[in-house]
Amino acid sequence: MTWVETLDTHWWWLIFAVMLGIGEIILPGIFLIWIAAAAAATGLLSFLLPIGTAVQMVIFALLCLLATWAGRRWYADNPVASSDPLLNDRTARLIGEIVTVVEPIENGRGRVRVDDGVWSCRGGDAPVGARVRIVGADASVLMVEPA
Amino acid sequence: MMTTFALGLSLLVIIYLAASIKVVRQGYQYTIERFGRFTEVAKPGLNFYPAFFYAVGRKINMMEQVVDIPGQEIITKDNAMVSVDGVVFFQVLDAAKAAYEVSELYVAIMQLATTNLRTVMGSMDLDETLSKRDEINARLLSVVDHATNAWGIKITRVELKDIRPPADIVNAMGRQMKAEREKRANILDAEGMRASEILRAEGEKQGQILQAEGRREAAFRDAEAREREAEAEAKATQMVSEAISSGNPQALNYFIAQKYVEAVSQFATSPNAKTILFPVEATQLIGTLGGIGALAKEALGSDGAPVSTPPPPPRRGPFGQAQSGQGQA
Repeated sequence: MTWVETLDTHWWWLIFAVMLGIGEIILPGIFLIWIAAAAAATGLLSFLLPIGTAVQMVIFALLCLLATWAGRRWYADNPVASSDPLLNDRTARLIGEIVTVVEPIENGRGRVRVDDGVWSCRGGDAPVGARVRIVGADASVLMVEPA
Repeated sequence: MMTTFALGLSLLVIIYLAASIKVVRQGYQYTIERFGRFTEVAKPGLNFYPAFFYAVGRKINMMEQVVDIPGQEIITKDNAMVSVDGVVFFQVLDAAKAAYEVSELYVAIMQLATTNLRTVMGSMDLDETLSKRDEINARLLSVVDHATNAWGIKITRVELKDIRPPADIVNAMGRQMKAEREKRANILDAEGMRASEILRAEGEKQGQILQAEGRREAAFRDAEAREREAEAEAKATQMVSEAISSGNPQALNYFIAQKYVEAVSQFATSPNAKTILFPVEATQLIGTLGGIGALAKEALGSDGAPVSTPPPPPRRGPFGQAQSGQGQA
C-alpha cells in the first residue's frame, strides 16, 4: 500500500468519491452514494488534517456507517411520496366500494361480485343479491358489512 | 499491517452496507427473515435491514401475472378427445403467505388449474364444452380461487384459449351444420310453396264465388225479366183478345195474313233462288187470300160469311216474335 502514501492521499479519496458517484449512476441500488459521500468527507479531512492512511481508512469506514445512518434517518423523515400509493395493492383500492353478494354469506363466509370477478368475503350473513360494503381485506378475502 | 487491517475494515463496512441496504422496486415485495424466521415484508422503496441479523427470504412479484395451462388432451363425457389450453391470471395479495404457505406457487397454480380443467370438462359433453366456455371459466375460477385462498393470492380470471376437437369430428360438425342449413332452406322452400298454393287456391275460390254470385244475380234478373215479359205478354194477349172480343175476329186474320205474305216475300229475295222451300200448303195460302177477300168485302160493307176457314193459329206469339230460349232451362 506504499503507492498510496507516495501521493496526496486526499486526491485519491476525492477520485474514489467521484468514481463511486459514477458507479451509483450506472449500477442499480442506492448505497454507493453514501460511501461516495464518506469518501469525499474523508478526502476533505485528510486534506485539512495531517492523518495517516490507516487512520484515514478507519475514519472512512466510520463515516460510511454514519453517512448511511444519516441517510436512513433522512429517508425516514422524508419518505418518498408515491403519486399512487395503492399501486400493487388491489384490495386497498376496493375498500369503500359497494358490491353484490353472489354466494350467500353463511357462517360469516360467502362470495361477492367485484367488477367481472368473484371474491371470497367475510362478514355478517346475507342472502344472494344483498348489497354490502367492503371495509377491509385479509389477503384475498374481503371484509364486508351490510351497505 | 495496520494499513492492511484498516483497508479490510473499510471493505467490510462497504460490503456490510451493501448487504444491509435493500432497495425494493415497485411491483415487488421482499420477505425479510431474521435468523431464518419470517419477520416482515419489505415494501417498495429504500429499506435498511442490518446484515447478519436479517436476510431477504423471497422476492415476491406483486403484479398480476399469467400462468399458462399447458395444452392437454381431455376426454369429454361423451368420449370425445379434445385438446385444450388456457391461461390463469392471478395476483399475489399477501407476500408472506405466497412465499411460505406454498412451496412452488406457479407449479401449484398450474397443476390445480390443469386438474380442475379436466374435472370440469370431463363432466360435459363435447357440444357443451364448445358452447359453454363462460360456464367452464366461471367454474374453474371458483374452484381454483377457493383452493388458493390460503396462499394469499387472488385468481382474477381463468380463460380457456383453445378447444380443438379432433379433425374428423370438426369435419362431421361442418357437415352437420351444412345439413342443418340445407334442411332449413328446404323447409322454407316448401313453406313458401305451400303458402303460394294456398293463396292461389284462395284466389280461385274467391273468383268462383264471385262468378257464381254474378250468375245468381243474372239468373234472378233473367227470371225477373221473364216474369215481366210474361206479364207483358199476358197483358198484350189480354188486350188482343179483348180487342178481338169487342171487335171483329177478322182483324186477327188481317194481321196473320200480312205476316204470311211478308214471310213469302222473304223467300223471293233470298239469294238461294234456284230452289225455294215452300212448306206451306197452297190451300192455306189461298185460304189466307180468301181471308183477305173476306176482309175486303167487309170493308166494302157487303154482308157475307168468310169464304174459308182461317188458318190454325201458329204456335208463336201474337206479334210473330219467336220466343227466345233464354232462361228456359
